Amino acid sequence: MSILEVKNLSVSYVSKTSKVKAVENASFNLSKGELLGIVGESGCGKTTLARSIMDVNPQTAVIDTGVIYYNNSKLLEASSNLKKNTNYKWKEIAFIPQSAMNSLDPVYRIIDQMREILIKRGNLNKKDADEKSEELFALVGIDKKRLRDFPHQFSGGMKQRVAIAMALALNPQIVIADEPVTALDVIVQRQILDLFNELRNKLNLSIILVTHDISVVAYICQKVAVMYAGEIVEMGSVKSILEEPKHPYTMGLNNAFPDLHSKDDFLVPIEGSPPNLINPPKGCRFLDRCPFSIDKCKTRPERIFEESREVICWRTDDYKTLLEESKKFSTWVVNE
Amino acid sequence: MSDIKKNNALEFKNVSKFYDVNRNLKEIMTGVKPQVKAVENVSFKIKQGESVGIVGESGCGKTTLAKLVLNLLNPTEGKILYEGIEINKLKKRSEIIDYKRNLQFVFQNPYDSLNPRFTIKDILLEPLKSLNFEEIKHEEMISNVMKLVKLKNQDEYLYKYPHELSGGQLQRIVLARALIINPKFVVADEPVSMLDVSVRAGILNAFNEAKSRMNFTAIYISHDLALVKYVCERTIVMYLGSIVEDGPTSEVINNPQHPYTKALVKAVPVPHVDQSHEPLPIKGNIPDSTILHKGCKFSDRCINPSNDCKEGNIPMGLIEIKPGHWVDQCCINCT
Repeated sequence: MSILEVKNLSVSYVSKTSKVKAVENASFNLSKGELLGIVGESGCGKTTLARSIMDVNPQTAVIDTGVIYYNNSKLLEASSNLKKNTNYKWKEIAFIPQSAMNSLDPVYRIIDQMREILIKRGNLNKKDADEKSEELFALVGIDKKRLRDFPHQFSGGMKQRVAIAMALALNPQIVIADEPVTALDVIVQRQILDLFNELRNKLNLSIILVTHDISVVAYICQKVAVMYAGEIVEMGSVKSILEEPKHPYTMGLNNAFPDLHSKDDFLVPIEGSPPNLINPPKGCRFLDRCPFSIDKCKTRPERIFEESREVICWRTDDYKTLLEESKKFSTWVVNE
Repeated sequence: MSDIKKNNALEFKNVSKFYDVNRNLKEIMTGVKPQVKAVENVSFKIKQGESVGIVGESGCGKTTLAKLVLNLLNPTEGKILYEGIEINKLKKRSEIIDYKRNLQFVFQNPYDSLNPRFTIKDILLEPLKSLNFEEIKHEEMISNVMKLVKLKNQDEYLYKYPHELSGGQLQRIVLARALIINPKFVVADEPVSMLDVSVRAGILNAFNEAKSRMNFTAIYISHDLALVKYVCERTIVMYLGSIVEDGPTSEVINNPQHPYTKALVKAVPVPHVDQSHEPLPIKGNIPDSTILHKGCKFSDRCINPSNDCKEGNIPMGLIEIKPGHWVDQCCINCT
């Protein structure tokens, strides 16, 4: 059963002169206890998508279409008079924003910042709040003595742990983490990812992990949505996406990723850059960069659903040949 | 070629760099002077034409090392020799210009390292002007370097401003600015960490191609072993200001000897399913770098340290276990 359901969500940023379609027609389900990864490059709309669920987009963002359900009740609907319901935030769904570790207030002790959430949002008294804080610190693996420290006394990884502890303060069912390990060193990154995994098992949390790093997704997620230019171009189980990608962009992304243990001594880039989303192309959005494009690609591809996975591409029938081709350097880089 | 390779381009002789830190009242009263030991007693040689990766976590001193090479910092102790000349003893302007003509730097963040009010052409002219290159050659040098970094239709770029280009294009400009003077030595500090994955590969390929064409010596600083693998033939692993392992990249990745390198190699995520979720063979966090270690610096994080390590009763320092593969001798037997 899905705990969160996003249907046909489109979000755009509006300025005086133009409208940037940051997310278009995104739909996905999140099951209880599932770890969903959203991958994509900068500007692909992954952060906007994550923030829409929490309704914390900047004021210029407008939700054009779409509905979001949480446990079958409507959280958010485009252009409706649905009274803004903010009660779910932190209690049901918690959000760890990008570089959360830098968002701790430098002049307050950690304990004061924990109390703020627990007392104001969770209606606890001070004593209970302190007890709960200690519990949370134990959960994320920090000594409770350090509750009285200031943020600058923590290292980057510790601050990220504090941010996770704060997100878990009111026992949410879903945690949305935006690039939680991006600024961290590999060893600390591994420890934080292990912590997410442990929390998922212990608390049966559902987690959405927004990241640009395929290997992070490969390490802990079960399901992954690949975004490109505002669209979810491919979605499915991590194993199927990594081993048998059907969209050329996913193939390219897999190639471009450095692999410590591969025998190749070169990386394959995807030439070009993503389209401008003020006026996105009418056909396939990957057309300009795709080495396998055919005439048909100038028209909009249909979304193809198969068992537990989906992809938006015209050439999915020949994906096996494309996959073979995509592993060659010459496919992606045209020599002068 | 082999003759050139034998010469040392750069040599570090027991180099240390300590930073003073602000003291609190107690430390002032007791006369204690805490110092951050960013780089401590580091020695290595880099041959002409070699490309060396320097890997380590943040705070391990890798950027300080780069600044020392560039003569932006003076070492607290030790000597840095470039082609046999001690660089921080250079006094005359002409000598310094000569040194800088050989050496260039590629910065981490392309968005911050280009002047927003200069056109791309001005940016590329800057090193030529300040290092006194003949004016007649400028145009030719610009067009050569633009080809080298794979920015075709150069007229399209030269009169634009940095904000009009994408991150990947900007990093190519940063690379072009470094390569335009035909340097013998390039130091790159995390040149692709700010870029998207699909763009990274293109920059690294351009860097590799320039390296093989111009045959410069390169230091590539990164926290990502997986990227170093594609650029460098030799890798130096640093931990808390010291070198813990130094060897051919394939050896360091496939046959790491130091417990820290072992943990580092295991921690690098790989884009495959079914990877091991075993806990890493390391504990704790990077300790405060002002703490003095009596013995082995790694002993607080080692999973199986002996008392002798902590007390420093075991000889420390690098020893060669295979030709070209050096490891801190204290830690070889720990795991």
